[in-house]
Amino acid sequence: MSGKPIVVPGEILTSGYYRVGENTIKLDNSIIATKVGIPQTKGNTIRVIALKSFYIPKIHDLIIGVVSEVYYNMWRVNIFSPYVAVLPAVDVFGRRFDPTKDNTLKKMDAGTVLKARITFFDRTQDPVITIRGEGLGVIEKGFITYVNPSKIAKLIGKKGNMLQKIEQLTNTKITVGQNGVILIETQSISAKDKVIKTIKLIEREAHLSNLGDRVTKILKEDEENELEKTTN
Amino acid sequence: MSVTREKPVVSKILQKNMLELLSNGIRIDKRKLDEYRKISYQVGIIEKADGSALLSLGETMVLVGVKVELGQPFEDTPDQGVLVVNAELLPLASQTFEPGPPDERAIALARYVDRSIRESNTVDLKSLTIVQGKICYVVYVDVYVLDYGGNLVDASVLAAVKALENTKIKKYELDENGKIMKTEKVESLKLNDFPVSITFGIINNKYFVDPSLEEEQACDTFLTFTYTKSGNICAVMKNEQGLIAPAQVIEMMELGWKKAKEISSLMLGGQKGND
Amino acid sequence: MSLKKQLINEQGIRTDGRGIDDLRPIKITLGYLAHANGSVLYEQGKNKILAAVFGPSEVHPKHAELPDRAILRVRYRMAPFSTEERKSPAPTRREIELSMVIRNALESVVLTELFPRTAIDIFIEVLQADAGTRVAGVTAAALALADAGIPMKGITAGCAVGKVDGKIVCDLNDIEDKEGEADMPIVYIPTLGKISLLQMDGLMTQEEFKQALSKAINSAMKVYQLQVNALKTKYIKVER
Repeated sequence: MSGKPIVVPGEILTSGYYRVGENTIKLDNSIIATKVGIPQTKGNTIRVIALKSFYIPKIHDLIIGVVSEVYYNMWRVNIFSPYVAVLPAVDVFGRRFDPTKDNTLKKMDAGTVLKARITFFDRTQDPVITIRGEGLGVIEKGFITYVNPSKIAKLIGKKGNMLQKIEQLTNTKITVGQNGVILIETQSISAKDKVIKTIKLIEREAHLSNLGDRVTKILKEDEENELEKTTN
Repeated sequence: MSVTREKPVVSKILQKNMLELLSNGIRIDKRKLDEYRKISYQVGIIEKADGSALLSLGETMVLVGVKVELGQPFEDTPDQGVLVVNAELLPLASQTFEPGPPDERAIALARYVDRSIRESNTVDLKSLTIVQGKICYVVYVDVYVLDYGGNLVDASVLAAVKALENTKIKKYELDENGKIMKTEKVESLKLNDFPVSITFGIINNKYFVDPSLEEEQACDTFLTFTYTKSGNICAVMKNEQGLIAPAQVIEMMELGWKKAKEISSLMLGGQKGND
Repeated sequence: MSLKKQLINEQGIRTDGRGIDDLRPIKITLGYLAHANGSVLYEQGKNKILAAVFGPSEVHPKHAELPDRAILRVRYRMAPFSTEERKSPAPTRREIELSMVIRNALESVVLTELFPRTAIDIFIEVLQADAGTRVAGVTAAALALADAGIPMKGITAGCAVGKVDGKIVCDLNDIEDKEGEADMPIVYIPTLGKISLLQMDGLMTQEEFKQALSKAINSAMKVYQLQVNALKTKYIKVER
């Protein structure tokens, strides 16, 4: 299978006049790659689309996380990032939050899954999240899976068409957190398995050509197998 | 597990001045790039040790005590005595040294002193056998850093060699029944060489010998060579995280040999300062 | 004392059949472990070295974190069964020193300033040792870091050279390391043209040292080519 050229950390991308984009740095008079990935120029900016990455919070990002620790005035939430997020009690109880009366532990204990947005982050302090807003809050049911954040763009596709295709062909509702955590809403275990299988394919082959065709193939393939199973 | 340590905070003005001066070939303490600080030493000051040396290099002070005891040779070298080097960065030498067992810095220092002495064959280990494969002398070299003013490596290697030079062995012999007996005889430890280590500090691709504490804190990295009397190299170590260009390694090696010859001529005799 | 064994014959062939400049066969298996963020099994002759990277992640204990960059935590260990005679599982002074030397060799290439207050853990387990394990460890660690998607300024490539039977020889094997006259491990970053690890013990003249340094750099360049190939093909190859 053919692929685009892959660069490795330290490799010179250009010595020409370009702006430094994602996963690149300027060294002497050249711009070099800092991660394994595929170089891309857009306008006069050069960047490297990493083949593997991890989530660094950005303000306004929609993320899915799991409560890891409960304090009297906040929850700490694992957002699958180098940085653990903070959900202040005020965000949940409102401005009249009173630590002597309101009990954070009774409200949400460790293990609670949340759909939230990043409201503050600058690397010097832990990211702060909110669950106030449309569609945000505690997730009660569904299935959770994970995709490397470097593959989210491919998973969603141009104007969301890849994600729509998966949803339609599996009859599921899929929420992709910018941190790579994915919520699959469906009653059907086999549909959930099919979605996960497709996501894993995208994670593995996102950088190769004709991704859309291969995704369609895997989604239909499974359909045929299932038909076989039911007819047998 | 080795963990990144916090870099000492160096004032930006100091760093800037240092760099400016360096590019003009001078240093903040007015030394030339290839100039060592004052070296002085005393030997035999610890009477209960079999050999000792107190050496200062500028504001750095190192005490080395040598003890010679009976022990067993290693299985793979039954015809040789044993050399053991240990180093302690004492808490009173610097606020950055913590009490407790030797940390990675102390271990790396001890192992470099050990390599400098061992690879140059300075201690004549063969002369330390008493009964082949059974009993031999074990030479314990304990490096005590008393005051940390930069360049511990060169001070420690020099002090260790001076202490070894000063070491007297109380002779043991076998009596007619084959029992090991202490005799009245005392002999000097037999040495074959006089290794000298030369350390370079490197900032922004500029190098200089014998970094002081202030310079050390601003340095990107360090390179140390140990030379034998005849000019062979018996140990090399790059320390800390920075990078070095290969061509500069060779330049430093050549300059280092010049300095090693000067220092070794300063180190003759029992008590001295180079002022 | 028995006569010293001849390690290089008249034709310039070494005990394992190599010429004096040849490296041992190298095999790189990226993504060897399922749970680490990045991992590699690095084999060089009989050396089998497993390197794995976790993080960046939150630092415990909290006071160890640095406000302006990520800390690196490096552990180099040799398995008790990795050597001819069993090695005690307790950490030796050698392992403590090498953990630091390896960390120092990596610190200047990892862009730690991008992830303040976090830790990047690098574990290097020597499963079988056959000389040159510290430089093989740095080589493997660079691969595991790249595999984990941790940004770096360049890739560190290591190789040891030494003096055997009076000749400067590349990539010493176990017997050459033990019986040879000198051993010089180096780590080089070809894209920066800089050295990040340099040690030597044994005896060499200054002329020999110059020759050794240039041979070590050539050897590191060969190792680097293999590292680059491995990183590029891991992602191009798709296994079904």
